[in-house]
Amino acid sequence: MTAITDPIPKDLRSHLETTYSLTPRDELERIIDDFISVTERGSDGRTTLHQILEMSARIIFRRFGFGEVSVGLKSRKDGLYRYEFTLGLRKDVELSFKQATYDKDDMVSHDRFPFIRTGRLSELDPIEGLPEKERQMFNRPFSLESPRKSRDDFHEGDYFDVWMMDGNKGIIGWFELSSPKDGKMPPRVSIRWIEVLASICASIILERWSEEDLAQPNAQAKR
Amino acid sequence: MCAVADPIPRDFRIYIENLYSQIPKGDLEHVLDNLIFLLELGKDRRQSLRSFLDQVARMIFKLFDVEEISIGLKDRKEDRWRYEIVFGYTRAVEAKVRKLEYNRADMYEFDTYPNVKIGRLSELNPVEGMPELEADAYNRPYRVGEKRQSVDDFHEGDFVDFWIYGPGKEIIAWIELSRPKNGKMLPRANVRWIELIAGACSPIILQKWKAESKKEVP
Repeated sequence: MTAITDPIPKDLRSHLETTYSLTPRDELERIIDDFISVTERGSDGRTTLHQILEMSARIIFRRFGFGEVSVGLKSRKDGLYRYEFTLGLRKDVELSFKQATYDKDDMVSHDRFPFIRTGRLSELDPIEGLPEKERQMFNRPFSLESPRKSRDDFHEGDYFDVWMMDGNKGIIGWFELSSPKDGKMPPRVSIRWIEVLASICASIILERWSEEDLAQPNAQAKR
Repeated sequence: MCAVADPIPRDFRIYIENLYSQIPKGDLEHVLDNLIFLLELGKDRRQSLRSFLDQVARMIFKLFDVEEISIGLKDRKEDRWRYEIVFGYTRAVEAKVRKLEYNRADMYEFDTYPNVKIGRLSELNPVEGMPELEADAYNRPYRVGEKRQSVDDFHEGDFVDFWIYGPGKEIIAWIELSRPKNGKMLPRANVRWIELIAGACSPIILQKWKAESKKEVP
């Protein structure tokens, strides 16, 4: 058996392989590389939704400098929202997160959780609007009372929510971010990147739910 | 009924709204903004798969300075891959491209379409490896036979494929690009961006297919 000769000139192949080497060269390429990994896991049926969301939370932790990252998901059984995974929280605070449940109004009502819109899919919930019952959900509760020194400071009790939406603009999941490592409001571009990741995760969630519906055509999800 | 007072100080609200203004500033934010728009559009059930892929092609055209873009899809019922969206070609070439179909060997074997891997999801198919039967599927077939002047030139007959994978690394679709506006090989960053778009299309295509399957269940 004879080997087939490569019709591509050696200098062209070598030039292209160098120009487009697969190792990421800068932060932008590293972020894209990480996001592509999420999409690859998403299309791999052996990876669970929980694993994909955990992977995404770790990417946010690693690439965008947030010390605390949580991921929440809508339950298809009862329509309530619960945290699926948390990263960077104290054990007792993590327990409070695991026990928390929210209904649809909690997720969208400005009166219940006052917020400032920060993007197509994101909002900042500042300490000034934090409900009393949520005060045990922070790593440093003693810092909650201190006044905000500067508008640029990220205060204990502030957090960002980045929404995962379905095709009807209903919330199906979310990333919750706090404690940026430099203590400042995160750059706008970081929030935009995380919105892209949230949107990718939403597509994966919807695809997995469609798979469940096909496997169990009689299962009725709570809307 | 009285309105609930906003507990967020007004100056702080204004500061944050300005800091995170939704109007993109600079190229990076512009691309991210378009990407978010596209992905959200893909989830909209009123958008057919075809109209979503059409938007993908238009966005690549608008953002990445490529003039010829086509998107192919695997047939859900048989091992055949065909072009679904053809953008930027003359009518005659478009008609030829639409008639093309590929089998498993065409899609997976190096010998059929010799290529150079240029990313996790992409490869460049240079004109030097182009099969004879495809020479007329180009806008300027008379240029296909010309010698490449420089390794950095994007030659007539070169094309880049971005693979969209489903479960088991099965190719479910692909984005094919040729004719960059400046006639040069695509910038590395653009290849990475389009790979991200290709990757993000995968769950959207799979979801739309499943929605179609659900409708087909008697």
